Amino acid sequence: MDRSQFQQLYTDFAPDLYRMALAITGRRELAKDALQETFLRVYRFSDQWDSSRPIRPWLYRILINECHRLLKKEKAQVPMETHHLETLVPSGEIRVDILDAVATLPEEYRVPLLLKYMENWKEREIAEALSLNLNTLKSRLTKARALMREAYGEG
Amino acid sequence: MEKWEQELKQFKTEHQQDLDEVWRSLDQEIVKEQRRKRRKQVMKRFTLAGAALIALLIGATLFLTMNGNDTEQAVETPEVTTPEPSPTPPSSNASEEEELTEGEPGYTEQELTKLNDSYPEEQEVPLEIEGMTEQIQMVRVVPGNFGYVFYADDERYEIAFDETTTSVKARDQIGGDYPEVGFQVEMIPDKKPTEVASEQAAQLEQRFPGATIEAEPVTEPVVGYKLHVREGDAPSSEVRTVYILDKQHEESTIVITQTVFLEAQEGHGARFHSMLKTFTVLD
Repeated sequence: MDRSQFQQLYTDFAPDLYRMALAITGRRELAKDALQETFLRVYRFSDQWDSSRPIRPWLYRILINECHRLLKKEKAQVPMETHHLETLVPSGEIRVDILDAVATLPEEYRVPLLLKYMENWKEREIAEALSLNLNTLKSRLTKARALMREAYGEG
Repeated sequence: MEKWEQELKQFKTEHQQDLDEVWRSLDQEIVKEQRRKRRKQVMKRFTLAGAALIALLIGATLFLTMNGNDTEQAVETPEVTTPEPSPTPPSSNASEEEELTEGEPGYTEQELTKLNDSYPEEQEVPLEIEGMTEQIQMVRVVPGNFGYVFYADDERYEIAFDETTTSVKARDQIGGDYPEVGFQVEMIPDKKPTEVASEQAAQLEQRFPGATIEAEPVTEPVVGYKLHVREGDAPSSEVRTVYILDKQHEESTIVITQTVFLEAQEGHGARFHSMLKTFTVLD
């Protein structure tokens, strides 16, 4: 992959990936780090990527793994209660409430929920990307919806 | 549609500035990588050219020496027509130097020289992670007694030696409830692998009461016996794998104890696997 192809890939996917990283981590700095590391890996391994396969699930898989890694590292260093989205993300730029509610979900529910409702993925695609059985995914989504109702209200 | 669903669907970020910032960092990294690649290629070319030059010099020297001898012989004995029996080549005994033993001065250098032929100081080792194969530059790890050799990624892991143990620990430890990630290689003198395996299993039972200890003979990443135990199902649960190698080094049994936490099995686990695949017990 040459530089111009890589830049095109970044232009096409970075905004959505960044949004996803921000929704998973709840922090701009972590989201930026996750995005950067994801694209670095893509650049390094681009010659190994089978171009007949869709690139989007691969990008998301790398991003999600990276977000998890950064969150774990962060958790070990800084107590979670010090992370308040309101103070870290300027209000008005993004909808803080919904991300606060998402942040209350355990990670195993958070990612499937975001892929389905924010990224509009099909359940089969999510199950494949997360290496989950379709039934397991469905039950996680049911649980995630219930938790969101609790955290955000039925509306 | 519930309110949170609508909110999520409409969720947008306006962080073009952040995206630009990440792109700038990426661009710098790519330039650096390209430079590193170019430098590596140039170094490779230099090394090849150097080797070719040395081979040429050796060849030329040999050629000149042989020609010189022929000329001398021809001058000294011009009348001899029947070829003289060729001088006996120096016997192998003559060229054989006495082997130094451990503790003698020069032993380490002697062993390192022998090792260099088969195991260069650095080499690229394939690492399969997330379905992709990456070549990782790794360094040679050899303990002071030259009992074994393997390659380790010293960028991500810190390598340390003490009298009987070699440790490879992740530089990037999470800390807190998470166990320390790494593996250590220990040499246990005067015990057979079967004996050591029973002892190790007993130690695991004591350390992880109630947990199931899986035991099986393996051929990968090393040839020997594997004991595997998982502390629990939490992301931070310790997962320990012990390999007891079939091949001994001078009556010592080699034990490799690998520790990760459940969620790091894929990442660190894969890296350890690729390092341990290079493991060789030295004679």
